Amino acid sequence: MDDKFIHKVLAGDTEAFRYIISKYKDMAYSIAMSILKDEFYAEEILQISFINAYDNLNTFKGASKFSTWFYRIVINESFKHLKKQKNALVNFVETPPDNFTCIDYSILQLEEDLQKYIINEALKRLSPNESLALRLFYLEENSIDDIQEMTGWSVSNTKVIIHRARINMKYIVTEIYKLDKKVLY
Amino acid sequence: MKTEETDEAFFRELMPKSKLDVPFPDFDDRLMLLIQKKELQKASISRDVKLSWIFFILGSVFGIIISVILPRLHLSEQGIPLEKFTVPFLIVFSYLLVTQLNSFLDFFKKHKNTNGTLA
Repeated sequence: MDDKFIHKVLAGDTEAFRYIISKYKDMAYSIAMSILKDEFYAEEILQISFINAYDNLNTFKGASKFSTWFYRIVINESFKHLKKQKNALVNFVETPPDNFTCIDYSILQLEEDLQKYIINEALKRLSPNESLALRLFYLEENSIDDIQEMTGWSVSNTKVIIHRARINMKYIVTEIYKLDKKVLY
Repeated sequence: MKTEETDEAFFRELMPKSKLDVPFPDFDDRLMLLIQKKELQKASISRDVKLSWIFFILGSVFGIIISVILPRLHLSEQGIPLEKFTVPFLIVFSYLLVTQLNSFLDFFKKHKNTNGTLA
């Protein structure tokens, strides 16, 4: 389906690009948010990435999936933007203490909206690399090879980042859940 | 091992809920407008480039014809034979030819770097 629309765009049908925008914008936005943690910057990067993809669509040869090719653009643009924001750098290191044992699985019994809120808040507090790795691995169910192609990380580095991300994520989710419990009950 | 499996199941169940929707309802329209503007700009640049080439070629041909004809004309203007203008004309013509060609090459290089292609 993507190929059909890509060919149409390349043949001069600008309107066909609308299909690509509506199909990929949400995941691309989630990726940009993982790295930038700010919805306005993420929107700006999304625009730049789509225009970049439009201008360079003729260089997409179909060797990989279109999503892999496009998300690589989004990731590169997001990290480029992050580098520019030297003053806005936040310390994301939030590591679990030694006595942290296990996550409270009762979170799975919560209403879906509350689960969404907790999970997205936790992802905001993770480092850009870790939240990006988790979203790519679990949300899009990309393989390690796909993630490697999109991010440029080595296989072992990708595995280490995902492993660390899971530990930190469990801790942050538990912390947010504890806090919410106090507020709610 | 058991914990790892439970964790895996936990992430598999929870992470799909982390997908965010673009919170700007007019995002698609604004982006399409930008792309259409860009296309119009490209078309106008392409038309200007074609016109520039036509005038460049016409000017070059005209200049070559003048530089060939000028020394053969046995006419004079206010007592100065026209063939004496050949060398200054050739200098000015060569200078213009080289600078215009250089500008063209710079323009193409710049557009190849930014757009990848030039219509």
